[in-house]
Amino acid sequence: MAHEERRRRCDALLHEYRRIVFKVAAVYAYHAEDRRDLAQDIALQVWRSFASFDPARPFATWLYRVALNVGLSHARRERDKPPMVGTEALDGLEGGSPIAEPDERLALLAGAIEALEPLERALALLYLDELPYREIASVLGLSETNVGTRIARLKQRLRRQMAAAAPDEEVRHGT
Amino acid sequence: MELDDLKAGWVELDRRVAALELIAPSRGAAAGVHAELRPLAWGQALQMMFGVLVAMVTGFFWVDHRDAAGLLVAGLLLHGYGIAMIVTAARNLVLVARTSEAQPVLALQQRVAALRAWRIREGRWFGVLGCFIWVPMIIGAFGLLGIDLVTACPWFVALNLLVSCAFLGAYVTVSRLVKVPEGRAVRRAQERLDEVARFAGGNAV
Repeated sequence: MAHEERRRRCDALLHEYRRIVFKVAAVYAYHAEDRRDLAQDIALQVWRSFASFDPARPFATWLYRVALNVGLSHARRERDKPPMVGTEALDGLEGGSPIAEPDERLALLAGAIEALEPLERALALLYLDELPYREIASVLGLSETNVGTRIARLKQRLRRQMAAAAPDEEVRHGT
Repeated sequence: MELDDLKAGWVELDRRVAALELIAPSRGAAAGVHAELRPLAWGQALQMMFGVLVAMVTGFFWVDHRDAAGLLVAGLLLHGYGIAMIVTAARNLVLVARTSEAQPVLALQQRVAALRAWRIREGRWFGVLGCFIWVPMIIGAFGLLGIDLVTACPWFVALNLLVSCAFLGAYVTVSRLVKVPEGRAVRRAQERLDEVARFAGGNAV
């Protein structure tokens, strides 16, 4: 594949699947500027690694791998930075329609994601993106059975988290 | 809270990111694991070049001094040290080259963490060797001036070896007492390996 042709193909695929890039950036970077930089880092790495992409295989699976690996590296570098809490974290995304009130759904999502370890975030992201277990297994390098077990335990953990947070919520709401 | 309760937020996030555009990547610094490993790769390349230089110089040295046992042993020790530098650097460079962002997430994370942890342990061994290697260096330097220190001043060589033992003691003590950056790096690499192991083993969640 000629250089220019490869470049065009890569750009087209990146454009088509850009939501994956931005969602990984949203999960691993806390600040709007960091998210922009991380999205660009992922795009750059995709372009650099594109020669290793086998067109016979699904691009999305390959992209998830690259994006998550770059995201995990970013998370390790930024480990000591304080996270942003609640809606601030995800409401800062450009492209959203202006909203007067903080979005509670995004606040819930951001709070839950922040509490997860970086590898768990990868699993949660793939699950929320509704990838089949087979594909999640291929992205993460686990067996399908293992994926099922990990997801079940992730759900349990979120339930425990919710149970632990519930008394605080009640106090805050005066109930 | 259920994982599925987060789906509403995820759908909203998906809707918002759909409106974003990526700037087409052009030139720029490497990102991800390769950026993370770049300092290690540069360090290993320099170590390899230095190792080649040491191995060459000391190789010629011991071949020229086969008739003097002390100089021969010193030359062989330094030659071995140079070769060890080349081999370990080459091994690490191959491992770095084999990492790819397109690998499955756990495989890559495990490989990088193991590489870092190994590199740090290897650095400790070189630290221990470094406590002693200067003795054959001094013997070699005097040998180049035509003086066989082992024969001419064996007490001086013995004294240097004693000093080396003191260096080793100090190195081990300082490594244990002071939280040097190497210690943090080992801890982080180990934490990362533990994190991957916990996740793969199912205890992380």
